[in-house]
Amino acid sequence: MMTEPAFFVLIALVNEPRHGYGIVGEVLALSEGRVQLKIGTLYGVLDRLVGEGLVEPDRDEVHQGRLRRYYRLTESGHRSLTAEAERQAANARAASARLHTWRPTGQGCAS
Amino acid sequence: MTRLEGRYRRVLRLLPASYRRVWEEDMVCAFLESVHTDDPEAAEYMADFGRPGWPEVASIVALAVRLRIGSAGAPPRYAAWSEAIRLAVLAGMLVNAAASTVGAVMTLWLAGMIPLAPVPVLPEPPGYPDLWHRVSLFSALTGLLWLPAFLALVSGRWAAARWLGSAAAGTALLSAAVTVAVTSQRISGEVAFVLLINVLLVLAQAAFHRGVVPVKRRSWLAGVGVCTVVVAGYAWLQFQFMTSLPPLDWAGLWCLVLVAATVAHLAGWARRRRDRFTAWTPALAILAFTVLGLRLVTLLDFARFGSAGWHPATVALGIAEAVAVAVAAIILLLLSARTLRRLPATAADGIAWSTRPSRSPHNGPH
Repeated sequence: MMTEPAFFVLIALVNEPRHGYGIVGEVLALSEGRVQLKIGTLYGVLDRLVGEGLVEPDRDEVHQGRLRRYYRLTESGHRSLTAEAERQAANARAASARLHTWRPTGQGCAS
Repeated sequence: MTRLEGRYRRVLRLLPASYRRVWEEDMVCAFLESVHTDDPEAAEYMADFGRPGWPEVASIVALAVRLRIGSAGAPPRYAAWSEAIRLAVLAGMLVNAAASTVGAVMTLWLAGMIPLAPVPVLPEPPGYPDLWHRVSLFSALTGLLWLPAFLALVSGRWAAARWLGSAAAGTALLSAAVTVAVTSQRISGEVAFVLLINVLLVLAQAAFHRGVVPVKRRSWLAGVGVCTVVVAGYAWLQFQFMTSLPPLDWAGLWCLVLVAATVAHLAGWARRRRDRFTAWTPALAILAFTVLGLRLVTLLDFARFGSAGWHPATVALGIAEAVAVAVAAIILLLLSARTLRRLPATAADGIAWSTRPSRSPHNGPH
């Protein structure tokens, strides 16, 4: 099962390659401010995703005298993200369906 | 380099050097961008007096710990190191389980509570009040907690193993403190060392976490049976020669076992493909240094308290055992370093990173 930070990092890379801080900003926006990745967390996740072949380096750019490294989603990363999104959607559907049948304790079921 | 950057790089030193080699520059770049401000005055102040915030530092500490205990998704080198720690912890717990079981049976037998055989009349140590006997009994019975702790660890019930191990280590500490208090005796190096190892055994159980390969239950259960027989045999020998103890003391017994295990391991290693990694090499290295520590503190105990009652050859044999275990420990350490160094230290190792500035911002697929 994919961790939440890994899930958001992969989503952040779907449309375009991004550098480290760019990923942090995109994840913050995608999660509506809920997931604020720290640098240590981000690079722990990136190292793992690169090692698993889900993300790969795209290019390096110089920005204000520093080298920015960009990362992009791989085909394998796209497949993993799709599978994870479908799994989460199925879970959410199951939960929603069950929640519709819920009645507060004490009301019981009509017999 | 600004002072802020220097401070952040100092925090990054918590990470393994091999990991920093791949990721440090990128992490520094991302961090500096995260604290960047367009206000030149604020930027200058930040560069001179700013510090990485606690949440940033905590994320680096957490990453350093995760890498070193080989948590899920850890790079191969740290995953292998973590496996070695788990094997060493299992071996340590196995010894504690076997020794405490034999110890409890012996204590109950000597107290006349188990009619195994006629109880020998042992000379009563001077200055040991009745409370000491009760503490000794308490210590022996609570020591039995190591057995369920070991069984829980082998069965994959890691939280239960941690609780039971903590209880066993805690009560052993309490018993030692009460014994020192009621007998006004100095604590021996051996007891202090064993208490320290108990605590380390509990802490090192952090290496058992989600994603870890299940323990080979049958082998470890057979192991605890064999170890119990060895310890019981050793205890029986001690009682057979009560008037003149054999030259092999408790630390000596483990030196012998460790050297035999090392020889068997090296023979197996020579037969296999030599480059193949096995977590038993670093695990045995950890155990060898632990046994060496035990051997050295017990030799120091002989120097502090004398070796009266022991066989005259015990100290000389102990020195020879220390040398043999030290040699085994060094060989195992060198082999471990050689094989571990060949494993990737970051998950991203092997990926061809470009470290040159880009030719064009649009040269990659989008």
